[in-house]
Amino acid sequence: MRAFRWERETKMNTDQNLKQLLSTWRVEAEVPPRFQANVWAQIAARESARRSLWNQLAEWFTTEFCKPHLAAAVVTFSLALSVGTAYLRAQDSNATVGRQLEARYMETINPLAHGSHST
Amino acid sequence: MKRAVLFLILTALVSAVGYFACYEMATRSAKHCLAHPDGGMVWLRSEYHLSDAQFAKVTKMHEDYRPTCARMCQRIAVSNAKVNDLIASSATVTPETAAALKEWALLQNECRLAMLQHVYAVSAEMNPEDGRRYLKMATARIVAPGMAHASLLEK
Repeated sequence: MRAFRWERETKMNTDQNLKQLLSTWRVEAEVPPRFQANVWAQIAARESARRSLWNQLAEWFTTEFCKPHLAAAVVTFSLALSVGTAYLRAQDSNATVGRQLEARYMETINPLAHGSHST
Repeated sequence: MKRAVLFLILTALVSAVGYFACYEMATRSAKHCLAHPDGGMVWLRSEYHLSDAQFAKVTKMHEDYRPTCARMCQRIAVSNAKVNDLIASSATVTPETAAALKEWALLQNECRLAMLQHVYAVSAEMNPEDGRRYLKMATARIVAPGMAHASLLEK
């Protein structure tokens, strides 16, 4: 009986102590710096990831493509590519014309070519 | 978006203009040669870097050689026709056919010799390196005139 009473008093004391302790506890949570901005950035990143590649490309095309430094680079690259291609094609064309002219010249000094043509 | 598409169209236009301008400039000289009535000689001048004096001499030599070439051409045509007629008119090799073939071969040889002389003379008027190139090109045609120059050089 005595043991039961002792146990009950001890429990009551513990509850009191806990009550006191809880009454002194204050929550002092501090929001980290740029908390809101970071949250919005995370939301934007997740939304961006969900968007299709085509949408991203279209957006990039609209916003970034016309910026002067990129525009200049695109024009320069495109022009260099077309001029280079034209130059290579012209080399081929000149080689073909060269072979035709060479044959034409040789015909003028080669009687065998004329003789065999006229028969 | 509209601005970007406009920019893209302009870029394509600029590139197209660049392409055609470059192609025209790079092929103008060859086209001029091809359209020229004496394109072969114009090509010779350009290909073998002939100076005005060299070109004048080569042109003179070419003009002097032209009647010889024309005469030989006529003789070869006659000889070819004779050989063809003799071959067609007989089922065996007759003495006349053999003689005509011999004459035909001699004439071919004579033509090659005349051409070789002309080619040597022309190459002598050129700068040494160009002269060597010219000889290589021309003599390849003399050895086998019916074959394409490129295939001869490959061999």
